[in-house]
Amino acid sequence: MRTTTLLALLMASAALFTGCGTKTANGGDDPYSAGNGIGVDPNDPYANDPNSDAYGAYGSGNFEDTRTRVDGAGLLPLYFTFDSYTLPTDEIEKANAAAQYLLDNPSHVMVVEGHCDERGSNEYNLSLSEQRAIGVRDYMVSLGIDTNRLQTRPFGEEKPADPSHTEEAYRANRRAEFVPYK
Amino acid sequence: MKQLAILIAGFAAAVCAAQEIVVHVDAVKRQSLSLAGVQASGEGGQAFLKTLQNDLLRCGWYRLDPKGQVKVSGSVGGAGGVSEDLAVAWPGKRFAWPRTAQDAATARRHAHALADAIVKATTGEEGIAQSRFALVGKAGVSRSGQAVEDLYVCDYDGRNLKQLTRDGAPIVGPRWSSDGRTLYFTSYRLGFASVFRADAETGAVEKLANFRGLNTGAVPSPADPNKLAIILSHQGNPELYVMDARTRALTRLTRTKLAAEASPCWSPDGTKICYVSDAPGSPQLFIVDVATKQSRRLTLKGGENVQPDWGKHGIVFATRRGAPYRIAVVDPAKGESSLRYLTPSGEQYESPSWAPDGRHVVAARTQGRKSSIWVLDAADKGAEPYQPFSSGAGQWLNPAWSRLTPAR
Repeated sequence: MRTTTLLALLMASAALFTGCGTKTANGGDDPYSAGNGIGVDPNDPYANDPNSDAYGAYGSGNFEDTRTRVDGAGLLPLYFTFDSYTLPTDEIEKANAAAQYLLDNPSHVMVVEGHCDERGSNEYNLSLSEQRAIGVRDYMVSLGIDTNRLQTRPFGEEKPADPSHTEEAYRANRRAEFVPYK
Repeated sequence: MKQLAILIAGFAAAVCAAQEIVVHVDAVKRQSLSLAGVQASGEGGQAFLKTLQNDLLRCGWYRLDPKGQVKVSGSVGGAGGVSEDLAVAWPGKRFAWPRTAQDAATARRHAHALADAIVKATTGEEGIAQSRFALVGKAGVSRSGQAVEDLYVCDYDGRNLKQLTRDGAPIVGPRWSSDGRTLYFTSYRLGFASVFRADAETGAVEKLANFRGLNTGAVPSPADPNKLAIILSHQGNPELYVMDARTRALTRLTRTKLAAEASPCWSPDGTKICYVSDAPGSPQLFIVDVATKQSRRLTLKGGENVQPDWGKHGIVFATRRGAPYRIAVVDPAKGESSLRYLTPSGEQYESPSWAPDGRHVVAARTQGRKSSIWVLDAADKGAEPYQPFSSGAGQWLNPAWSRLTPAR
């Protein structure tokens, strides 16, 4: 498979992809975000089968169980601002580098971990950290990475990079991490 | 507080009318109760009396007075087993308590049962003396930086602390089944967030949800123990579902591609779920009608409103409104205008859970770097929060108060 440069992909998809991970009160294409309610159409014939997701050629198990972790890939964490899962523009290059890694290694896959700092509800932080990981995953998919090559893992505040309680530690803990598997 | 007093007094009055109970309870004013007529002997007898006294103080309905209107008298103790030969009398009513216990531990359990019986008979309220806490105990941090935690249970007075899991992996959000026999929780024992349930007696653990992505927030309906509210992200991002625990069939309740949901709790009648969503831009409380799937927003102010628990006197939750997290209660029918705080500003409390009496609340308090368990009183504003047990070196978080206790 011919290696594609990330730059070419970025230019091609820039027009299609805007505002990944941005959350707004009246955001995007979500028809239920207007007003104060978040209703679900009771007539929506959404499939209830959790196994209906197609895993494709990369396997259905967790990558940690079915593959070998790649060390030393040199992928840096992507840092978030407080209580946000928007990808900061000055951090996007970390996700670009992770996507480039996957383009350079076509048989490899990746786990995107989401993390929070220790403040706030540990229950909400699980959901927030998953939203962070998903935002990064969706951005990488927009660059052309097959979604089946990416799995998200939320860790909430349960696995800090820096266990101390300073503002510096909080900044270091609000992150997504990229863990490749071969 | 006055609203709550009226609610509680009104409830007590209704029960009074039904059962012809003479004593009427005012939520703020405590009834006088005397234990002066009880003769306690031996280790078992002393353990019984001490437990009974603590229970009657902690329930919040009485103040102890040798000339009390409610009188407990008789003898408890003995040489061999513990012989309980007691009577409880109050104007116009009386009941006897003739039991035996083979040891001090059993005598304490009987004392808890008597305390609850006295509360029920003289006030019409549910007692808390036989209830328990589920707790997350944090021993430290592993070499990889991950929290080393396990699930524990203990009696509401801190006794009989028992470790239920031995995984040393992060645990989030334990929730009791209505019958007090099962605990539902999120654990990283497999390396990532999955939902499990544990038998509260044996500690036997069973995996319940391990879909792709996030699995968390499992809590059974008080109306149907086989229906769990749960947060899953396998269909795109964290959303609220109801899952049948037997068939794993899912009913989806939210569709918010750009927002995350968390921390569901059921209404006492099992028809609605209160949950957290950050669709407005910050985590706020919403209520969804499970049958119609229509949601409405409950909290309007505050940077964060999280970790709700729904009891008969309202929804208790943690709120951040410019200060450290405080515990607040809101009437779901009235919303923000009914909000009142249970903890002072400047002190950090989180993850509240209602007691079976719908009056007391257990929460985790952070002081400096230490997290410990405290009990609050939603009815009596003058009541000081207290620690049911001394934490020692450990960190204790995410407490859950059992609704009922199975007969043991």
